[in-house]
Amino acid sequence: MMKNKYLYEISGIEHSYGEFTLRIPELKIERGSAVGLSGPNGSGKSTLIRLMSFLEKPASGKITFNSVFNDRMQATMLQQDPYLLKRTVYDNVSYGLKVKNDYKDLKKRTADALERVNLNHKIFMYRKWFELSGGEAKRVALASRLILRPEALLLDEPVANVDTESSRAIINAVKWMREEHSTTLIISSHDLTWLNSVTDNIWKLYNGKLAGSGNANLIPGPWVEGENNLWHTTLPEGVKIYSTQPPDCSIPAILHPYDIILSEKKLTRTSAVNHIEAKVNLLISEGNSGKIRVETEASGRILSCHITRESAVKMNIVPGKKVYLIFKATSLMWD
Amino acid sequence: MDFLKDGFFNAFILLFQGHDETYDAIFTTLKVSSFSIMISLLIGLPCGFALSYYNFPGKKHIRAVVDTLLSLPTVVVGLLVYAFITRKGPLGDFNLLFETSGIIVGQVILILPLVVSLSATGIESLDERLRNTLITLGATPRRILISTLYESRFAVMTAAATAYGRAISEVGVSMMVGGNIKWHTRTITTAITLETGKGEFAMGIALGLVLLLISFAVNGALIFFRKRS
Repeated sequence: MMKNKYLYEISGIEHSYGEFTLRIPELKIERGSAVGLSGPNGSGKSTLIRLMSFLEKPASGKITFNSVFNDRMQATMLQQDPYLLKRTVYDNVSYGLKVKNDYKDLKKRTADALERVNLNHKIFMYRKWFELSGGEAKRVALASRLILRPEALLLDEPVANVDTESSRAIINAVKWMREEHSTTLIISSHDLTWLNSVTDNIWKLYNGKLAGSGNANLIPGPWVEGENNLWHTTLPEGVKIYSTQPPDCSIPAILHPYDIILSEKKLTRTSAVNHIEAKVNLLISEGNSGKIRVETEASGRILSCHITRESAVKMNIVPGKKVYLIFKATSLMWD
Repeated sequence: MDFLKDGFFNAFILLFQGHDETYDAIFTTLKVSSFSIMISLLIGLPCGFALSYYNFPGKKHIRAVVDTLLSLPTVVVGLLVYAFITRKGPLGDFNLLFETSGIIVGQVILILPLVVSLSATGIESLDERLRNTLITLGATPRRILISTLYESRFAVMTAAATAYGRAISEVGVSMMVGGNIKWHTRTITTAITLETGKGEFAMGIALGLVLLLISFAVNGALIFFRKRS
């Protein structure tokens, strides 16, 4: 039987916690893809991940996995702050196989999974749960998911609060899972730079709703009415972004990277009202298109724009360089 | 005070010479309390798990009743069980009165609330991420029960040790339901009561020493499990 192109198909889900409601009208995730979920705290990333891991059922709507409603065995999730069973590392990593009565080469597979997350199995295999650092515990928890060879691996803030070595080990292991086993990755993170380096596409969540995808920049409200029919919102470090009148003062605006002009100097006499000072964080080549995505930090928020390779060389755009992002108020779109 | 000194001296003679009557009471006690604790754990642990793990209507009320039953007086349990299993009682046909099986029934009623309440408290204190972890690793509901109990093993063992301590040291149920019949239903506590009443201190002291020894062992286990948990 031919497999459906989409591993996950979500339609019309609504799920509430107190006053917060996650609403996803439609979302399809292709088999073997790597999807990022980003958004501020309380935007619904963790709730969506929990629903997609079948830890909870949505109050309404449906989530199908492989065209069926619940295939918990093939989708596994790593929690933000994972829990280790009060046992040895070996018992933790092999637990998932044992519950499936899969005892074949258990020791070797456990050792391989540990090595995959860059933990020496000779040293760590029989350590107790309390003999691990936070980063090591997270890597053991990831190894216990990798050993299951799931079709979908859902990671909730996998590199939050871990040391650099653990972070690197987690990234490599996750990439390996995708390359070697075509595992579909769904990763939530605040860290857009990291997320961009691992995923193909990023879905942005805001206040329980999908507020755009791809590399579009999400500028959250609230929007305040100012002069000359312009509205503005204030970025975390105080810089204002101007827009046209929003349909609702609280919704986020979408700013496409190709609507942003990157300049070395602050321009005057332009029709664009937004001239934001930013620092280049990262340059990412966009395949063979000749384009480069420049990720910048502007007043405490990550904003991306596109430039050509030639422009990057001509302007000497390197990480750490101070630049200006220029865009019109009309470039800000409303979903 | 000579009677006490003689009592201790004769008690050691009884214990070291393997006095049949003394050892019969010890074995009866161990047999009865071991069956009681096993039955209580079999019933009480799944109940404690359900009471702590699931949300259902009336959960709080059931918990309040279980907690109230923790302080059940042993003689009240003895009286109730006696009333039910006496020849004229509703369970009279089972011939449980003045049998060790009758004592076991009484002791199970006495210690079951302890097992349920303490295991529920132990499981409640577990991290709520445990459930998510077990589910995401593919555990079935049965496996979740076993793994959760295993994760709270130190609390569960504390519950078992506390309940065992209560079963082994109770006198009301054993006396009223068992009838303190020599070579048959006489336990350590009923024997001590009888022998002391008769002024026979030696056997009472010997049995008391054994009871203390068991209590120390149970208490030692409790301290160990509390430290580990």
